[in-house]
Amino acid sequence: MSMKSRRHLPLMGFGIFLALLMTLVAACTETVEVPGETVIVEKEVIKEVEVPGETVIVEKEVVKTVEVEKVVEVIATAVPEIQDPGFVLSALEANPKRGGIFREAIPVSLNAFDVLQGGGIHIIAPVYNKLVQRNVMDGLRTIVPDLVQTWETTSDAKEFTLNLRQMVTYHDGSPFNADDVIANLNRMIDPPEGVTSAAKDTLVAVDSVDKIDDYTVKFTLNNPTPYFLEILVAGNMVIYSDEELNANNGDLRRIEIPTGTGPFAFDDHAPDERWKLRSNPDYFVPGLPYLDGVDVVHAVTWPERGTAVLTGQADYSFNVSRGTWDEGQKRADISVAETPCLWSHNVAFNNEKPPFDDPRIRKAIHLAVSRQVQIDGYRPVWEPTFVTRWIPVPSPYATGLGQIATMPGYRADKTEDIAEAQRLMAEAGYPDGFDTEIVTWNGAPTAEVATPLFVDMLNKALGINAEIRVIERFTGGEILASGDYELDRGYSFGGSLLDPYLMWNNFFRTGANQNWSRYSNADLDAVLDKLAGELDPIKRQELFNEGMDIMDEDPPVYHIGFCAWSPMWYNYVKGLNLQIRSLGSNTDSWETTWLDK
Amino acid sequence: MGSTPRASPSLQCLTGDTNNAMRTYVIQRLLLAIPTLFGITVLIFVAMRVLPGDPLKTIYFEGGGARILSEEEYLEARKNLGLDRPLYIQYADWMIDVFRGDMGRSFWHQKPIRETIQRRGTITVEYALLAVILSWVVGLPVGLIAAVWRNSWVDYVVRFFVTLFMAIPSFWLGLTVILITVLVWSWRPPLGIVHLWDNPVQNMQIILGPAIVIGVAMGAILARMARATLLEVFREDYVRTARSKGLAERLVVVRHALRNAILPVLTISGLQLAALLGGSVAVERAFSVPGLGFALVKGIQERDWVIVQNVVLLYGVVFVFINLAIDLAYGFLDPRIRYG
Repeated sequence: MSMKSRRHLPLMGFGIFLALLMTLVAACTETVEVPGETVIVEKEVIKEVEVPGETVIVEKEVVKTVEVEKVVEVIATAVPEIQDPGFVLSALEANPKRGGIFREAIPVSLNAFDVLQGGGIHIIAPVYNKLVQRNVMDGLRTIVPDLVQTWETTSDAKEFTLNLRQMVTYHDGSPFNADDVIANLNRMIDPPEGVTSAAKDTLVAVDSVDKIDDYTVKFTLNNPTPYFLEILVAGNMVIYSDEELNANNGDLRRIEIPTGTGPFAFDDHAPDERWKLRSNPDYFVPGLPYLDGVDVVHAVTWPERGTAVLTGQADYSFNVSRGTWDEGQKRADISVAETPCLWSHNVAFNNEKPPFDDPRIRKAIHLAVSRQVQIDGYRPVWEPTFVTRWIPVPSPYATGLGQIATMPGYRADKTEDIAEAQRLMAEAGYPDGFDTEIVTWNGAPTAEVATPLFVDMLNKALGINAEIRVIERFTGGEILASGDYELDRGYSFGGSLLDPYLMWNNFFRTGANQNWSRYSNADLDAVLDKLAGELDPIKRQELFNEGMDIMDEDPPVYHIGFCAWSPMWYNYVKGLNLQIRSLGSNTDSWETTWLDK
Repeated sequence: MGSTPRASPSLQCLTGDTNNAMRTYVIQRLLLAIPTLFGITVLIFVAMRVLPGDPLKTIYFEGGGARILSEEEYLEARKNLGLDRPLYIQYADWMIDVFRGDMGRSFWHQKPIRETIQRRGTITVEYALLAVILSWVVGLPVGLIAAVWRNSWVDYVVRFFVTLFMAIPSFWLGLTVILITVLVWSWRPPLGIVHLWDNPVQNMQIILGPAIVIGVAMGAILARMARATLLEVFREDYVRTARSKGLAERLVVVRHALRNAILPVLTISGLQLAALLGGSVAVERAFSVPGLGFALVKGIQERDWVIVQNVVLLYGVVFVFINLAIDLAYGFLDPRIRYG
């Protein structure tokens, strides 16, 4: 009997467990301050390279006096570039220790091995290199060489000549040269039959890629593209072997796994379970990587990732649940951060379906539905989100968060906004609201928290009754593409660039290939036309401001804001500069990572 | 059909006639399994293809965002993967793979399905068997005690806990256990798969959680079933006769009553095992155990037709054989039952 009693002890403790559970949930609802400092740091760096940030007006006159030739010296770009032929990537800390296995907890499912076709770059990024990369040494604030040694550009930003590193080899021993770059870029721009290029949309400006010699390539662009190097830092811009591409007709989806030049080589993997990468002893950066290898454990959900770190099964995860993040924050041996990311939370309007074809209706919703209430509501079970306008937080062109917090529609106090929204509804012929339908994914955070919250506010503020249609995530793309929706909570816009031109051009231009809200605004199209050829950063800022004003008046979607990630790691993880990062990343190469233990 | 149980007064089990009858019965059952399994293959093959949602249509990026393919891109992607071929050719290809024992490769990650089933099925079989054993170890004695001391305080306490454990969802129990171990001891079972022969301690850490929470729930059902059937058997004439001739109560219960009461318990337990071998997805998710059930659900979500088809077919085979095994076990447990 005593054994049996012992067996039932856990049951008697359920009350206590429940209390603990409730405490954890309560802890999750604490308000987390927006990391404004991160944004400020970003602006400071931009000023160093003469790209105006928030103080545009003050500096405007000064910049106007710069001669055209001056612009050639400092090409305008959203992200500053470091072009030092002697630049060598390394850990910032002195005397980094060598050896050890770095353990990361992330989802390790991948749909293909070809990153251009949806392959999980978040898992296999360390196997590859890109031409250029964001600089891990300064918290991803600048662009630095990767497979490229140096680059030259013309004053009109229409030609970029890249000088490639020599003596770089793939893990299979084959040498890297200009042919690899040409083959990869051509595949991205004009994929062979049956190959889908996720990078195609961002490379529309590229007219041709030409080989000058074995270690020099020239990009000729059809439009001035001051942010061109930033395009090349995107996760899927990895350089595969020309030989391997040719051997597989340009389709690497089923090749386990294509060779790369990266700091770590593929060792082993078990689907939905783990990946093992071992260090590349022939890596072209002297002294790197510091680690012996990387073990990636499968942690699908954010709580799993968080508990993996909290229980010492992983050293790091790039995005953990709020509850585990809070637990980590309390621990002396663990650090946490909140880093902005470049995708957004929205509810798409089908701009072609009445009454959402009426800008007054869309603006009424933009004004009346509180972003703050939604974010606070879903943050405990989903992810933090900044209240932003149409540009992600880390972009130098973004409106400051402080200013946004006072703007109609974005501000927390809804009294005036709801009154104006109701006036617009009445003007549009819907003083008492209307019935509609909202599509939402079947994931609990979306279907059970975020969408009901939105629907509730829509109803209370404007009398709009939205029936929720829950769909499976995999059908989401088809529904958006077919237009079989009125409102859609699964929609997201974003990209990999801090310069928002391409993002807007792909998602909001009339007839654009990712314009799933079917938005059309001639004024915004005109702004985009001007942006396509504009080099002057001041004028670009003005045009982006104009574009944002247009979308505030005539919203293409109900935009809640751009998201943030919640990384968590042990203090002994060094070389990543996670605390000072201006931008979230899930495609780190771990080449400068080392373990202080 | 010749499958009707036939009473025999004899305790003789394995005579030549009985063996032949048993063999005929087994062959008949196996032959009947063929159309059943064929039906399963057709059903799952068609079902996966008529489900709305094609993963090729959209490329999702981890961490956010998606790129929806144009119609031309989508059709090319399908063609490239051989999905534009007639369905009967795709079905025939699959059947050829199955008969080769190959089962093909995952649509997405290209790992052989056979390897996935071996690797992940092992862990599922482990916790399923352990759960069944646990359910017997806990459920049968508890049911027995409740039946012997029926309507006493012991019976009330047992019934309370049995009802409680039947009512509590196993996945909730699993989540609670994980939450406590993480928050109180900063410990959780290892993520991933560690096989028994690689590291027995870690293997046990992985499978014990699911085995216990499922085993307790199954044990509760068994206890209830055992109590009910025992109470019924206690009222039988042969039990009364055993008592009246002065047999010790322990022998009456164990030798006469329990042996006859165990058949329905065995049936329930066999079906539970078959269901568990299919994987308890919710519990696997709660404990982050990458078992076969989770592989199936993920395959369905990602429309990985190859893995779904093969795992469902495997479940069909498992169900057929476990049902057959239960039927055959009747013959050994109850001398009155023979097949002919």
